[in-house]
Amino acid sequence: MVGTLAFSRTRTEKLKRALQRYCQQELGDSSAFVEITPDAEFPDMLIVPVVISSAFSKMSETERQDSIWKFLRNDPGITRDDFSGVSRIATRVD
Amino acid sequence: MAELTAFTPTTRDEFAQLARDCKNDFDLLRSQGQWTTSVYIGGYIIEARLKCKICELLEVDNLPAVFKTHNLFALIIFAGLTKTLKARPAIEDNLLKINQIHSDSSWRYKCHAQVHQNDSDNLNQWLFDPNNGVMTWLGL
Repeated sequence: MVGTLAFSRTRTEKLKRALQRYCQQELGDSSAFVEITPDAEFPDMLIVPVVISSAFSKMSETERQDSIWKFLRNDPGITRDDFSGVSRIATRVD
Repeated sequence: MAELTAFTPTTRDEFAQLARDCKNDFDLLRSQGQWTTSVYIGGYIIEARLKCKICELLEVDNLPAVFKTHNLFALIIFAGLTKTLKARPAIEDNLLKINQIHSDSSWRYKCHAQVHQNDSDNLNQWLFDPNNGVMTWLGL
């Protein structure tokens, strides 16, 4: 469960859709998976989106971060306010 | 409950020195081509600086134990820097990227590898870019 104080279902869905657009448009991976999870240490204060894609296997850790944030900051479907409470974006190769 | 009123043994001045020590170690490791360990240690420069800033804000000599976390974004909140950071979007982005690397415990267990030079170089830029580096903004 995502922390109830700061995070509405609408906003987490918006974040999820933006990250799914990233996977499709930047990684070309339509089978990628996005999860929005509460921060393990501060579950009512912070959230951690997790992007899982096999396409990350070709990228270094920091290249993934640059790629994700560059896309999100230029995505007209999401604003900076939508990221309030996002403390980081994790990536995983499955 | 005791944890709420306890203090860590590390003082504000020690956190300030620790941030400078970590920066020196980061630079030394990079100069020796020890890219992997430099990535592991890089985030601690920010962590130590923010813990020093929390002590300054609260006007206490030692860090209260409730702030014992490695989460850089949470430390930004506790240091009262959220709004200031929001006004500097490029720096905020760099902090979010560094927080992911700093939260990834697998860096503790990676063997030295040349391929991590790219990660170390990116981290160096996110930390010390003259305009948008997190440590350029926080100061040492």
